[in-house]
Formats: sequence, structure tokens, C-alpha cells
Amino acid sequence: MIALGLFLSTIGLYSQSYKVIVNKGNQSTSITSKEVSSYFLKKKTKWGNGQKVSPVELKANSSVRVDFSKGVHKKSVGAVKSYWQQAIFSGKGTPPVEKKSDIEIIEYVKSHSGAIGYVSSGCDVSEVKVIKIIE
Amino acid sequence: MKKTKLLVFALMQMVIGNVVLAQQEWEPQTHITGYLVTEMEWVGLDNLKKDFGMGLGEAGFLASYKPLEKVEFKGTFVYKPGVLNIHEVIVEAYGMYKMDKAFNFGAGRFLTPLSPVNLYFYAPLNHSATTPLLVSHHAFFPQSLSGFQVNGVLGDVKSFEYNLTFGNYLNVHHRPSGVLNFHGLEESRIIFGDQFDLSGNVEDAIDFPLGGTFRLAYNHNNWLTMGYNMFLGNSILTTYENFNIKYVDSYRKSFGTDIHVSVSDFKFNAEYWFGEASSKEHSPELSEEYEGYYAELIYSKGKVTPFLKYDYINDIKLDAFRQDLTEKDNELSAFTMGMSYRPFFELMTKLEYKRYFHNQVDFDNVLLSFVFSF
Repeated sequence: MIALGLFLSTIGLYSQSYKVIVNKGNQSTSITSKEVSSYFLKKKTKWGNGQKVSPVELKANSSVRVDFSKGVHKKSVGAVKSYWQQAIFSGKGTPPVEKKSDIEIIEYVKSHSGAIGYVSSGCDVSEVKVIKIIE
Repeated sequence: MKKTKLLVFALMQMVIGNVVLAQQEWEPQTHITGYLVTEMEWVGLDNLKKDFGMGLGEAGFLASYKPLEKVEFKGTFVYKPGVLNIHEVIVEAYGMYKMDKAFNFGAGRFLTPLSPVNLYFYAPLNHSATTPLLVSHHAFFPQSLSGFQVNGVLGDVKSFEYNLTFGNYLNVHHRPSGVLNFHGLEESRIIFGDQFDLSGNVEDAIDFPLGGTFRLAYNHNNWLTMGYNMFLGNSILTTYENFNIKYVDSYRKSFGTDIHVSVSDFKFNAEYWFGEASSKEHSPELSEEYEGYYAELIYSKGKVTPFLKYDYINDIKLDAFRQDLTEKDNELSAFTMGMSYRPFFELMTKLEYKRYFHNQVDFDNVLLSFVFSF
């Protein structure tokens, strides 16, 4: 069972509680989990074509954000907030824009060409593009 | 000619279009954060008024606003016991124009950006309950400078970071602080001309010396950072004449170097500073020299962060050591072992044991602090 789980996780078929989405104009089809983390922590600020990345995420009390943080950053939401606290005080950066709901995230991603966000897996994502995450 | 005009027009449309598009996509951002520190402390030193105390150790508040993608306003206010004037509470208050990663320009009041040493100043960023002696007792550079700043980062994986700040500041000194009035705190004392006139009958203007800082650091793929720092400025030295305190114009220059290595879950930080202040025209010439360093090893994985630290400074001026001072009595070193525990973002607890080494007496210090962040 463990081996099967590992296998499914490796090939990206393991069911997640979230989907990572980008603007429909974004040419990327898949990115690594590490790259997603770098975009959300603003360690990488540009897409492959040079366009600026605009990450957007759900409020800290969202259960989807808890899963996203564990799955992508491998850290708790609190640890990521500590990271941003350090960045804000040191003047090195500010955290991504936060939205209250999946609908607001989708609206943001639709209207921002370089946006990347995540929504719950059951959300209607027909107006944006779901991007495949490779572990 | 017509073709050239058309080409220029098309290029201008492209540039303006991009700027407008970027602006349309931007949503103004506001960030508010802050913290409160309550601490308990015991010091095994006989000549303090009391050896155990507890109370508010620090209160900090930060607000930033980005109305445009490239413009940021930021204010940071920190209260610590022993703070005497509003100048010390306003740590940062500036506006910054971020042209791009390589060039930012700001005006206002800045936390002096010399290596990470000054960032220990903010309690939630510091795994220890105390700042390095370099920070709490330093006379190397002022805590904040008011004026102008340019900074930027060149490169990506291998990058150079620079920062140049120039402006005025208040006198660089330090005085006792903390719940037992035992630790150090930078003192930004307002000096009126060449006399500290307690009667309030002030004829001379407030003295704000000018100074400038420069930092250049090399970062290698986020695991190694090496920095070089300097501060140069006008300054003020204190002497006694006819039983009165007299402030004498002087200059101050300090140099520091730092190294930071992150390997796996371990982090090693070390800094070394030396500096001097000398009178320009006073006879006999007045001068002070300073030297300080620290090294620490931190293991950071999960919620618990244990650490070891060694501190040294040769410019202590705490009342506890004021009797029969000799040159050796200016030296203070400390070995610290401790840990911080942050079960969730809002709460951080710190427990540490320090052993101080001084020419007159060695003694112990235990601190327990609670940092609440929002």
C-alpha cells in the first residue's frame, strides 16, 4: 500500500485537496513543487518567458491553504507566516496577496496575466488553467 | 522619416501600454504586524538592586503600504524599557521607490542596514531572548539613520547586495535597559550644543551629527553570505570640565565583517567589528576604541530551535561595573545556550542561560520570555 501511495504520488495522480492554477495565457503546462514554492515565497519572481509572477493565496485560516503549505512548502502555515514576518521586518519583501475564497482567487488569476494561485479541488476552474505539479 | 516616426510611436505605445497594464494589475497592499514581549529574568550579580524581575520587555508595531507596485511606505515603532524619547521609538519611517531589483531609492528614517546584526533588534526574528552584545552595547554605528538610502541586488544564484545610507542621527551611546536594568540599549540622547542643559535654558541648536553607512555582501545560492560593512560620521564624545558634562565634536569610524553559512538544518553566524571615535580639535585629544564579535550555531528544524552563542565586547559602560574602572573592566564576554519554541505563529517562547565573564566577577543570567505576534 505504501509503495502504491508513493508510486501514485510520484506520477502526480495522488488526489490533492487543491489545484494550482494560472492565467489561461500562461504557456506552462507543468512545474515542479519546488518551483511553485519558490514562486509563492517570492524566491523566483519571473516565469520562463520573463513575465513577472503574481502569487495569490487563501487566508491563513483556510484548510486548503494548510494542505497547500504542507504539500508544496513542506512547512506549516505558521512557519510560512514566520518567514514573511522576517521578510517584512527586514524590508526584503511582502507576502502574496490574500483572498477570502476560491472565487476571488479565480477572479484574480483571470485578471492577472502572471498570476499563480490555488483553489480547492472541487472548484470550477474552467476560466483559468490548471497546472500539473511534478514532485 | 515617416517610417522612423511610426516606429518611435509604436515603441512608445508598447512601453506606455506595458506600464498601464502593469499598473492596472496592481492592487494596493497593506501589511500590519507587531509583537509584545513579556519576560522573566534572574541575574546572579550582587551589586544590582534586585536579582529577579519580570515585565514588558518590548512592544513593536509595523505598518507598510504599497499604493503602487514600485512604491512602498513603511513605519516601525519599538518601545523598550528605558526608552527616553520618541526618536528611539521610531525605528523606521520611510518611503521607497523600487525601480527594479538592482536599484531602490528611499528617503526617511531607516534601521541602519549593516549586516543582519541590527535585525536581532526585533524580538520575533531573534531566536534568543537577548540581542548580541554588539547590538545592545554597541557604539559602532547608530541604530537608525534619517536621510536617504540606495540599495539593490545584482545577480541571482550568485548575487551581490549593496546598501548605501546617508543622513543624521542622535548620539551613539548605550545605557542599562531590560526588566532588571541590566542589559544594554542604545541611547539616542538629544544633545543641545556642547552642554547638556537640564534647566531647559537652551541657546544652541539640537546637535544631529551626520553619518553614512555602506554594506556590500556576496551571497552564494542562499547557503553562504559574506559581508563587509562600514560607518563613517561626525560624532560627539563626552568629557568633564569644571564638574560639568561637556560634549566635544569628534568623528567616528567603524568597520565590520560578517559570515553566514546554512548547511542542512544548521546555521552559523559570525560578525566582527572594530571602530574608534576621536575628538577633532579638543586638547587633550579624546578618543575611544571599540571591538566586538560574536559567533553562534543554530539548529533550526520544526518548532524548536536550540542554539549556542559566544559574545565579546570591550566597550561596556553599565553602572554595574562602574566602580574603580580599569581598562580590563571595559571587557565583557558571554557564553549563551538556549532554545526557542514556536508552536504556532502567534506565540514564541524563549529560554536561555548565559554565563558572563568580566574582570571583576563572573556571573549567571537566566531568561524566559514570551513573544506574542500578530
